[in-house]
Amino acid sequence: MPTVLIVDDSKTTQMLVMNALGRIRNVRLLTAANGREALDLVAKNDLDLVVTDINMPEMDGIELIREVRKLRDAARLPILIITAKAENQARDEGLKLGANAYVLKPLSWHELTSSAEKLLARPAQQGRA
Amino acid sequence: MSTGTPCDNPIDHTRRAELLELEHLRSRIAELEHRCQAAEAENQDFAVRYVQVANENEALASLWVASCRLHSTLEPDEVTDIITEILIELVGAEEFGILLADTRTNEITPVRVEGSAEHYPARVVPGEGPIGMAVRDGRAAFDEEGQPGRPLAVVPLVIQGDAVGAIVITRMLQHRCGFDAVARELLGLLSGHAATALMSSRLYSATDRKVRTIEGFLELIKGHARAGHGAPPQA
Repeated sequence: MPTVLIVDDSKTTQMLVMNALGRIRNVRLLTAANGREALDLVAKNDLDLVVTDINMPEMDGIELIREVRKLRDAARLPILIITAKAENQARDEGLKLGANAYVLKPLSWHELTSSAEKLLARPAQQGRA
Repeated sequence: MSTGTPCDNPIDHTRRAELLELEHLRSRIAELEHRCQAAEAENQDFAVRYVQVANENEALASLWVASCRLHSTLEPDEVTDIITEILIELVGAEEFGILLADTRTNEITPVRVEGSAEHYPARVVPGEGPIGMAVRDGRAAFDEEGQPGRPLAVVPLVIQGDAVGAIVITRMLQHRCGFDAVARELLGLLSGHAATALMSSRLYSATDRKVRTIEGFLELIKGHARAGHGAPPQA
């Protein structure tokens, strides 16, 4: 069963993403309110995808990507960024640091699920180190 | 000696049978083509309906999330935070204000502004200007062409037919042009539910404050009684 971690300090976005990704068959969903909580869950769980916002308190999405890419076991874990169009600099930085794709706010279910499904469908050796 | 009618010739007979077969095949092809076209049209219709159902589903999910979030707390500041989240994350608003009417002064004042505050007059009175008019009429007003100095949308916050404030959107996220059906439905939901959530949380908060004050006062009286006149009689 694939496990997806949703990282966002906004409960509204968390609920929306959970609703959308919950439609993907047999998916287990975990949530974190910031990068620090997320990093802890990345270390403790065998994840298949991380969906993260950029602007968050304590540790933002960019820092999270940087830290995840340092971890040997999660160096190639697929990461999907949720971003506003105005945050294009942060988005580009996230992609440069190793995020795999992004979706724009306000979220479209179709865009979100199809991006997540594409990343989940990648062969395991591409997803993990 | 043969009279020689064409039907009697076995070759002609075969050819006639072949022609009949050909005719039959042609009509069969035409029928199959017709059925294929009908199936394609039906398929197209299903595809369109699938997209419509998917969009409806997405809209309902957004409305469900918004509704759940709005009624998930009785803290006025948290309700305001949630309305802000819904406007940014679901509607796609970038700059906006949440305004509430003061029943004593009859003025509408901002309780939360995202972006520049210069779009809001210092004093908004129901019936005056685009914000005041939408509040007075209790009907949402949209101006998607974005005339300078005018808000893109004014959505009154209504409880039992009375407007208690308004959501004023002055700028949408860059890639959002105007308000689609889902955004309008969300704003419609906010018009009723946000008003109820805001007012009930404020009433709860005010009542809670009063209860705490009275409890504190009673504790003070009890303490005073204990100090001055011994412990109050036990029940």
